[in-house]
Amino acid sequence: MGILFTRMLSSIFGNREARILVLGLDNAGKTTILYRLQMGEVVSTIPTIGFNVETVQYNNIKLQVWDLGGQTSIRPYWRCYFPNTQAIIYVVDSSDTDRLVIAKEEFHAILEEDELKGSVVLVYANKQDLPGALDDAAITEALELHKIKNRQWAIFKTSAIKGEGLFEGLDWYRTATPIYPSSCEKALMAMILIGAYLTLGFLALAVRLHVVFIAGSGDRGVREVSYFI
Amino acid sequence: MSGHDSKYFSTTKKGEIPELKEELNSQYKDKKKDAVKKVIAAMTVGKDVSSLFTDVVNCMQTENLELKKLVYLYLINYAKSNPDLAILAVNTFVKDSQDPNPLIRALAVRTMGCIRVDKITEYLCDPLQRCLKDDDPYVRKTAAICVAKLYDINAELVEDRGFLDTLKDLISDNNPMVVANAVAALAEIQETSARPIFEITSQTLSKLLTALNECTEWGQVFILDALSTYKAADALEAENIVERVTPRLQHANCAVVLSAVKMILQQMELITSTDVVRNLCKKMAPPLVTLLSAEPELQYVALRNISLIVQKRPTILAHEIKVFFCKYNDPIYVKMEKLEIMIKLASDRNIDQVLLEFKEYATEVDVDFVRKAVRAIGRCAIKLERAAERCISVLLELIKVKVNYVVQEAIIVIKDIFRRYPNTYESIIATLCESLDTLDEPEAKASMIWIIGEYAERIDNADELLESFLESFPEEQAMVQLQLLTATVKLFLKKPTEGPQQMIQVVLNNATMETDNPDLRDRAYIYWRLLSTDPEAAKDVVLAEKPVISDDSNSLEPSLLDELLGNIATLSSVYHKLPEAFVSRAKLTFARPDDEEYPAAVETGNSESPSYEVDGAAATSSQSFTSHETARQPVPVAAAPTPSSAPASPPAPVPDLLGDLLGLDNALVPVDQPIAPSGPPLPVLLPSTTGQGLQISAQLVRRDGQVFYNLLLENNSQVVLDGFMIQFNKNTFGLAAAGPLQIPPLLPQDSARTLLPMVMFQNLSTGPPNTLLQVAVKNNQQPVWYFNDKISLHVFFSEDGRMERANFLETWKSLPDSNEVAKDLSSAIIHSIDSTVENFAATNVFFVAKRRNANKDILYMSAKGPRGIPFLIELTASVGAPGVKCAVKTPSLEMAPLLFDAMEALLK
Repeated sequence: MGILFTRMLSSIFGNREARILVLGLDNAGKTTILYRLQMGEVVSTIPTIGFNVETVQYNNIKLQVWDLGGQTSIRPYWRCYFPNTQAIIYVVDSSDTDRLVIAKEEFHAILEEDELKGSVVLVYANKQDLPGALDDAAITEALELHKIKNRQWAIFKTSAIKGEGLFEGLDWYRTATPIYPSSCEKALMAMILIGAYLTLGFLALAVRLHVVFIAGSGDRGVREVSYFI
Repeated sequence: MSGHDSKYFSTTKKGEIPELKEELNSQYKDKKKDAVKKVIAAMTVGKDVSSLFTDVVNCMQTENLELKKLVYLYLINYAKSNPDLAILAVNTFVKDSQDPNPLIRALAVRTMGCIRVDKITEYLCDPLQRCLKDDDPYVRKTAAICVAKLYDINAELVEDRGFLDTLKDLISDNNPMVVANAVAALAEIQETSARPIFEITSQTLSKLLTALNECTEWGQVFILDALSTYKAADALEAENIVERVTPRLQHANCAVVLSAVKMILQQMELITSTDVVRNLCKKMAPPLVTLLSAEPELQYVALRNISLIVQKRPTILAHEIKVFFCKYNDPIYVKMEKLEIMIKLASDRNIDQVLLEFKEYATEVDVDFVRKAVRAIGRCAIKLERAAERCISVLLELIKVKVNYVVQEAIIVIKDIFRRYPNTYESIIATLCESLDTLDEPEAKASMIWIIGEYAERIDNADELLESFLESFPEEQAMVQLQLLTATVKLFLKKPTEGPQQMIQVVLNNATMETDNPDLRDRAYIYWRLLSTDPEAAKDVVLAEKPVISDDSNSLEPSLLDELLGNIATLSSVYHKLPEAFVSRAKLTFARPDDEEYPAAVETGNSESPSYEVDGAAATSSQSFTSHETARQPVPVAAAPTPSSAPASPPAPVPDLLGDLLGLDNALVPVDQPIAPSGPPLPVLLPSTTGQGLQISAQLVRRDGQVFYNLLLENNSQVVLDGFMIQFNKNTFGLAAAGPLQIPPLLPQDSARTLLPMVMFQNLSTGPPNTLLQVAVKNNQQPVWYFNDKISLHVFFSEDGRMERANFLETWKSLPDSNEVAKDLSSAIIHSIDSTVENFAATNVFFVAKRRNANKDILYMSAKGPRGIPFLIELTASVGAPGVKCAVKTPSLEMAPLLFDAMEALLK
């Protein structure tokens, strides 16, 4: 009972980790973004064959960020990660204009997924530090973002190397998903729970006493009580 | 009542797997860990939890070492059943192999080696490379073993990446455990490789000897085993090595002791100094004796090994026979082995002691052991001439006890003693005869009868004794019957009186008329004829002097013994069999055409594994996928043809069966016309210069909607060639022979033509489409011939490829422009449109429309390729001038180059 109660409490007070997927074609900069968000530094990466998962603490929100490999051979397995996802960060290499068409196709394929119907979409037009990188408007056009009607989305110009634009994106995410109860609501719910817990405890005690009392009066009584319970 | 029952089909309970799935995806770390534990528990008791693969793998990136280990454990078990998804784990492995914690690095590399999935092995090479050079010895030693594991999965990769050299470098590592594991890995690799990979040189030798003293016991075993394969340069080096290894004899671990013994025995071969050898023998005795104080199972293993050692060098344990005396509470298998060794160690010096022991054993209760003890006495008698008399007196004492099975066993061994020492101990026959009535085992009976027959002249009542056996002649075992027959003949020859004459009549009658046993009948007839033609000659034959026997039971051939000694402390030395006899391990053979063996055709029946199979296999392979019982029947691999009427009567069922099974009823092979009509000359694929006189010309052709391989074989050699078989390698269209190749024996300067029916999509190769068709043809006289043919796409064009104009236009429009490719066929030429259209129609390329544009004629045609792929073809050319532009639109663009090839060939 005690454990249950702690869990209940922690589910209210403890910060739930939001689950975020970082998707995009290979060499878009997903892994670099992940570690830039997590550690604040640029790490040297190799192509991700599989996935990386890190917990990112930003201001007072905790995000469980999944960076999935973007190579063609691994893309089919993205769907294994779709359930329970609050947000998708779709990373586009803004300088790789040749593959924007593929990026668009993959992007819209993701949007079609049932399991991702409820998640918000954050597009990072990455690699802005490179010469010839398209700006956010051009990427919006290329990815046909305006076709998205049924969910919230936003696009940010980012450079994972310089660390620009990444946290702005997370800020937008926070405002877009007000799933966290305010502190006032939290307190109220906690009180209701504590009340319920105490009432239950008293009830249990009462029943137990009752049983002991009737148990003395013979077998029949005990059986009745067991029925009653 | 109806109407409400649907509720039984819908339940709110989710079942274990979905529940676990939910928990694995939980937010909470402890819940997640519990879930993984539950999964592992389910896995351990044999429930299939492979469907949770991704969910478990997602828990892999964690700080928690315990959780990580559990996930790794899961991976090892289920990566094989989810080879595609296993790729998701790769990144974590790569990350973990760079973890600051050496335990995690080692864990990652160890698990990587255990995941035997081909697809991910190449990704694991880089981490492995790093770990082999890791700073931490624990990681290095784990990585060393991983190389051996990887070698088992993909030997080529290991060699290409230079892991073998890295491994050899590890032998010079400063950590003894790393050295030991590197040695173990190299030894393991060496076992599966045909090439010499691991050879100890004098430099590595000193390093190994140094590491030997420092590493763990099992590491020592690996090093000692490797050292025992080392051939020392001279006696001095051998002595030095042995000196360094001798301290290992005192080790508490039996495996170390045995491996050290093995190694010393091997090196002793080279040592010439008798003093040194004697000393070494002295040193080896105590550790071997100590082995016998272990648990019975270990004792047994030790005894089996000692049995080998004793055969090679009896001196080692000559003075230790007492330790092999059986204790009353030894398990029977230990007792039996001890007896065996006692016999081997018995000598004139200790025989009294040994006989005393044997006599004691012969009074025990275990029948098998008692028998063996009695037999042991006999074998000692045969082995030691001077002790024979004492042995016989012991045997007689035992017979006097009148225990049935002791008596019988004694008689059997006494027979052998008589054969060893003829005319020496016949005085005891009288005693033996007393127990005649108690004999009931065939071997004892046969032995007794042999004795009576052999010494008939000295036994007064021999005829009576034999007669007593004769009464039951028809019921006796063959062994006894044979002996009775021979003994009676001997008796008759020695005492040709009336009694024996009658007996012999009865026996011969019985043995020729009343028996089903051909051996007995044959022998009886031989005696009969001998006796009836020349009794004197019969005497010479039957009563001839027999050679003296010696005891060679349970002793091994010297060459086998030497090989077994090299395998001491392995299963091989326990079985007393060479490893090859009970371990089947595929040695990697680097495929050379001339030594390639054809697997048994009908038994394998698997079209995927070997590239080349007998053509019968190709035929059956398709069948083995069906559950048709008849398909299991072996298909005649090659018809037994006679030179005169060979091709006219092929075994018809093969193609019929195939047709039925593959649903190719309409494409039934017309078996009655296997001779191809002579058409244009076929391209020569195997010239007679390379084929040792055999010339093969062949081409794929299409007849009546079916693809055939049109073959012409010409024998320009001096010998008759027969037993032709054909096999096709995997190819883009999966072409394979639908039946056996029916070619009669080819006389010199003869030729044969055949149309071999083909089936498609049987042994498909992967990779981009190409036209290569690799063919192997063999016969009984020559090696296998391999040659390459080119598949022309047009043989697959089907008869129903015609398209109406509207249909053509519609299809053309429905395909995106990206599906159109064009090519200039410079050597092609259109002489006249009508004849071209006609030609094309003959190969199922159908004319749709034509138009003229700027002095050029444009033709539109359609064709339907394999698997019904449509080809929309546009040909642009000016009539009479060389150079045709061919454009094609098709859903499967990768076929276009093949189409161009085909068009070019058709337009030539």
